[in-house]
Amino acid sequence: MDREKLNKVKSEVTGIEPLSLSYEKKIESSIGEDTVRKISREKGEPEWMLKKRLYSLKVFNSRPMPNWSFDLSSIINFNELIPYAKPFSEKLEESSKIPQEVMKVLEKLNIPEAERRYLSGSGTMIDSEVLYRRIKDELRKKGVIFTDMDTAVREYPELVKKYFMTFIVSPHDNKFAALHGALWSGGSFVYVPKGVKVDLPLQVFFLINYPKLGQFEHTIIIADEGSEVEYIEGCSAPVYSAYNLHSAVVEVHVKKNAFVKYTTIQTWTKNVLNLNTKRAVVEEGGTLRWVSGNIGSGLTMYYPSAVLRGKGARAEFLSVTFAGNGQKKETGSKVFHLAPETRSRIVSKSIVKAGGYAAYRGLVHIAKGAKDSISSVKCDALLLDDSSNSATYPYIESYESNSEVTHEATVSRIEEEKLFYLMSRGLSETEAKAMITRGFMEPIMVNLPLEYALELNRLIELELEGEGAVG
Amino acid sequence: MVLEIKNLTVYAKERQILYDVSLSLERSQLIVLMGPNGSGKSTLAQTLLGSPFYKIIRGEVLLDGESIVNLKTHERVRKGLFLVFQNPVEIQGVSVLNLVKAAHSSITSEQTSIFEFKNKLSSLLSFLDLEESFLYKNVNVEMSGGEKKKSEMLQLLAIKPKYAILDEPDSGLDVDSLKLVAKAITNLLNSNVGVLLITHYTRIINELPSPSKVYVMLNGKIVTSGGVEVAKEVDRGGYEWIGKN
Repeated sequence: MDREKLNKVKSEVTGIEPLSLSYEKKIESSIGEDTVRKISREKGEPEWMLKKRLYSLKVFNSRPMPNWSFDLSSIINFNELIPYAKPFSEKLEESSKIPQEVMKVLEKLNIPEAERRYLSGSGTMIDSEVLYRRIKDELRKKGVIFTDMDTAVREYPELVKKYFMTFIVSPHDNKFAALHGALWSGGSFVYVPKGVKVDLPLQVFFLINYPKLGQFEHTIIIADEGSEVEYIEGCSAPVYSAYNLHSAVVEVHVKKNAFVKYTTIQTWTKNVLNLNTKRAVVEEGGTLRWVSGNIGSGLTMYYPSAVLRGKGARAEFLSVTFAGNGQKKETGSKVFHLAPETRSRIVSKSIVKAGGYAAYRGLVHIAKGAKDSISSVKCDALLLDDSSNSATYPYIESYESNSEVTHEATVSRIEEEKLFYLMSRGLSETEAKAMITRGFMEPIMVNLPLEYALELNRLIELELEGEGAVG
Repeated sequence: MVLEIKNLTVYAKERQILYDVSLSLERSQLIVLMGPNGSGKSTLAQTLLGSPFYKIIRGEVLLDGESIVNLKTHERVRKGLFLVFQNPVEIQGVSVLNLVKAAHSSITSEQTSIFEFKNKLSSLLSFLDLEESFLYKNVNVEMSGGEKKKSEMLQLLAIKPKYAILDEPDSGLDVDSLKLVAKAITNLLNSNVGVLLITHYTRIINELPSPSKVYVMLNGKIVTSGGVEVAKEVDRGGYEWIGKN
C-alpha cells in the first residue's frame, strides 16, 4: 500500500487527512473461513461467537446480491475488500493517551468539546477497533453499560448471546447483514437498567482510515422497562480513490414504556459505500425516535426499521438525505405493526442536486389484529436542478381494516417566485437557495442536537455553493 | 437623490405589458400610482426589482444617477431599493425572524448587535400591533392577509431603504391596520425614504401626507398624472372619466 501517495489525496471539508497510523494487525486475506477464524482468534473470542460468525459466512455465501435497488455487483468486488485493520494496540479509557494525530482529528470534529459539554459518554472507533470509550461515573454507578462489543462479548456473554443477530436482525436478512455477521468488529453495547433515564446523549464516532477497508461495527442498545436513552453516531473518512465499505448492524430493543432516540449523522466521503442494517423491536408503550442525516457517501442503502410488537408501541423516523454529484441514495423505513394501537410516523426529506439521485423506499406492514393502529408516511423531495432525480417506492401491506395508513409524497423544485422574493430581501441567489433548502429540512433539523443541526446546515450550504463538502 | 424611471417598455414572455412608462421619485417624497387590476402596476414594481418574469425591452432605471437595469435583484436591493409585495410567497420552514435578520444583515451595512436588533424589532412589533410570537411564524405560511401585509411592513421598517415601492399594502386591511400602515409610511417619509405607493383606493391616501404626484396607469401606460385631486377624481368616478378626457 503506497501510504505516501494516499496521504497526498486531498481530503475536503468533512473528510479528514489520511492518518499515518502504525497498524498493529491487518487481515488482508479474502473473505472465507480462514479470514473469519483469524478475526475471531485476534479477538480471543469464545467458541459460541466464532460459531455465529461461521454461520453468517455460510449465509453470506449462499445469498444473492440485493436485487431491488442499485446494481451492487458491478461496484463491489468482495475480493478487494480488506476485512480487518487494527490501528493501535490498546483500548484507551483516557483521552490523554490518544495519539496526537488522532486527537487533532477529534478536535477538528469537535468531539472532546462535545463530550465535556453535552454528552453522558462518548467513544471513537477507528477502522476495525474502538480506540476509546468513556461514560460518566454516575451513570456507571446506576448500572448503565456503555462499552464496545468485544468487551461485551467477554463481560456480558448472556446478554450478547441473547441479542447478537438473533431476533432483531438475522444474518438471513440480507447479504450484507450476513457479511457483517461473519466479519463484525467493534461497535457499541449499551444497556440501560429499568427506570434509569440517561439525560445526556451517548455518542460514538466512526472513522475509516485504512484504504479499501470494510468497517463492520455492531451496535446493540437495550433500553430496559421505563428507561430513556439517546444515542448519537457520527462518522468521517479521508477521500480515497478506491471504495471503502461501511456495513453496520444495529439492534435496538425498546422494552415496555422505554424511550430510545437514535441519531445518525452520516457524512462519509463519496468513496464510502454505506450499506447498513439497522432495526429496533419496540415493546408495549415503548417509543423509538430515529433521526438520520444522510449527507455523505457515494452510494447508500439505508432503511432503519422498527417492529412494533407491544400494544401502543410507537416509532418515528425522521430523515434528511442529500444527494449531490456522484451520490446515489436509497433511504426509507420499514415499520411492522404487530400489536393494537401502535403508531408510526415517517418523515423523509431529500435534497438532490448536480446529477445526484435520491429515492425513498419504505414499507408499512400492519398485521391482522393490530387494531386501531395508525401510520403516516410523508416523503418530500426537493430537486435543485434539472439533472437531478428522485423516486418514491412506498409499500403498504395492511391486513387489519381497523387501522389507518396515510402516504403523501411531493417532488418540488425551487420556484423562481420564491427565489425572487428572497433576493428582493437582499439575499444572493445561492443564499436564497440555501434558505429555501434549510426551510425544507427544518422539520427534521429541529429534532437534531443543536450542534449537529448547525453542522448539517453548514454542510448543506457548502454543497449548495458547489464546493462539495463531503469529498 | 432620485429614482428615475425613463421610457420603460416591458414584456412578459411575448406579451407587452408596459408602454414607455416614465416617473421619478425623490427621497422623502410620496408618489402614488393608481390604476385598475391588470393595468401593469405590479409589473412595474417587480420590473424595478429585476423580476425574472419580465424583460425590459427599452428604457432605463437610474438609482441616484446609476443605471440598475443590469443588476441582479439582490444588488438593486443592496443599493437602496425595496419592494413590499402585494402577494408575498410562502417560505416553509423559515421564520419571520430568520428572514428579517438575513435581510437586515445583507442589505444594511449597519453594525447592530443581536441585542440591539431584537430591541429594534420588538418596538416595530408593538408599533404594528403584533405579538412577539409573530417572529416565529413561518414566512407567509398560515398567515391571514392582514398578517402578510404586516410582515412585509415589518421588514420594510427594519430595513429602511432609500426608495420603497409598496404594492397595495392596504388591500384587505381593517381600518385599524390601515391606519398603522399609513403611520408607518409617514414615519418612513419623515426619515428620508422615498415612497412609491401603489393602490386602488384613496382610503389610505387620506391617512397620508399629501402626495407629490399621483399617476394613473391604464393598459400599461401612464395616462394622467397630477396632484392629490387626481386620486379624488378616481375615487369619485373610477377610471372611466380618464378615457373620456
